[in-house]
Amino acid sequence: MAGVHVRNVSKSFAHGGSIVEILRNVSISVGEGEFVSLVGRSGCGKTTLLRIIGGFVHADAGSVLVDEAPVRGPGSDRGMLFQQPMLFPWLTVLDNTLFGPRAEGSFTPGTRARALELLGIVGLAGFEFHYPKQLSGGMMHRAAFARAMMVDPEILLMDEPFGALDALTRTGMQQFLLDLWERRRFTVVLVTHDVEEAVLLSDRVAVMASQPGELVETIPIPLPRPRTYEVSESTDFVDLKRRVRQAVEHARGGAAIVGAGRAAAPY
Amino acid sequence: METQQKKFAMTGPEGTLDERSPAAPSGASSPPSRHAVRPDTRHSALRDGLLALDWSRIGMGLIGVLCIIVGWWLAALVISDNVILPSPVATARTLLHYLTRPYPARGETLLGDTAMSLARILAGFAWGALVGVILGALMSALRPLRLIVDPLIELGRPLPPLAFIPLLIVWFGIGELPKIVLIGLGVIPIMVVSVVAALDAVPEEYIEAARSLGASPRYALLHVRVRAALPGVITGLRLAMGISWTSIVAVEMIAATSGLGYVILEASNYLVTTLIFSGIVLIAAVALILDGLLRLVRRLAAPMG
Repeated sequence: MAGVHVRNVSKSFAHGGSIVEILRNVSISVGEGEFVSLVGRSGCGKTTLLRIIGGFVHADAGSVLVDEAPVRGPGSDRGMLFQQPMLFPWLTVLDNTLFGPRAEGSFTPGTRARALELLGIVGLAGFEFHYPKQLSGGMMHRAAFARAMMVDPEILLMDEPFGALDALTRTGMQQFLLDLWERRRFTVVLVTHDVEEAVLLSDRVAVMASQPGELVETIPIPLPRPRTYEVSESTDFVDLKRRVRQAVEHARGGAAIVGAGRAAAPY
Repeated sequence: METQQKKFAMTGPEGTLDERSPAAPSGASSPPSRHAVRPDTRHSALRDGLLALDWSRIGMGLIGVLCIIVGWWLAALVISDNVILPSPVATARTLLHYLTRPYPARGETLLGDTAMSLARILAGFAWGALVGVILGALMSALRPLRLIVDPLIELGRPLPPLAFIPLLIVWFGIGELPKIVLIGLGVIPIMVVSVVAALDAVPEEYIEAARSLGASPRYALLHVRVRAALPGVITGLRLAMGISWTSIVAVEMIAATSGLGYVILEASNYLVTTLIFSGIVLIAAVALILDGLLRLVRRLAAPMG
């Protein structure tokens, strides 16, 4: 079965002469087409967990299976989106979108047409030949989505993708992501510290504690789909949001136990 | 909006080192203005490079040059001594006259001497840049090498290349070799420092994005890390080109019988001040052209950059 299976993953980093335990014995499964958010205080290891799934960091112990195959490194089956869109500034929007097929060597005569179609879907028709610097923040993020979608990833990994956007643009991008997910139903693991964003977008919210990072609770979000931003005004939504927030607040971690290397833990 | 941008472009100096921070998000408010619809991606970079030339800025720059010439001319009128300060007109006359005619004391034209200096610069610049880029790239990739070479560069960088001229003459004589070696020695540390800085400045997320788009480590290295560092490397080339001129003129004044540095020195021996100025103007003109070429290349490498 497709999906992500994280089993008993632990990870420590050497930091300032001491060993900082970032993740301890974390297990979580994300089903095919499921949208799961990881929330928790800063330093709870949620980004490290995402990067382990992405293949950029190797776990000290435990395993990560994607489609039953162990993760050994980065791959185009797992698209990655960062807080900054990370478009290549020397390429036009279209060429950014075509980067994946060219890098993979899967460029065929139909690829360009498919990229143009995808750029239309993300609302960038007419901007194909613009450079990233000529786009607004929200447009850059939509271009980054188009670029990631071009290689047909089964899983999208997102690390606070809208964290740097202003409130209005962020709302627009959340709606954009909801619509895109309804169309494609890819598997998503989203790291965020925005509880409202997690509840709005996810099927399940996984709450993590800090020092070391551990999974404390997984809260299902049974709100009806397709969702729009209006759902955030319903009492169900507010109740779920409160539940998640309380879980985050009650999770171990935070100022009381700040150790020497905690605040500056690199990932 | 448009005029504001232009004003800003005028006041902000082009080509400083901070230009290679690609992660800086551009203002969300700037609307796409000039390049709204372009049907073809081919050659668009070149067109952008030419379109991006800011003609009002060039105009303002010319006004500055004009002011200098007028000031020079007025000063020459007041002083009215052709040896201390010849007028721009007299200088231009000498410059144009000897551009293609050999100067009596020696059998070379100004154009020929310019070509001589240019050839030395290009040869020295080429080997220095090549070594500097390779060394910088290796240092960026191999941490031990960086730890070994960094102190050497830091030791050597404050030394003016000119301090080596006597040594190079002892080693290589007074032919072309010591001059080309000297220029390269000036170029290497600048290129090492800027190549290392440019490669280091490439955000790791670029590489990770490329890898998760299916790029192999090798493809990500060549098409992303190296490519992203290119504008910074070209900026380094511009700085190195400036140093090359300093080196060549100095070495031509000390140990040469040709080249613009030699012409200037000779002219001062004979008190032909118009020829001194002619040499200076030629150096400025050729240096400006070379820098303009590098700036154009940088524009191509960093569209909208």
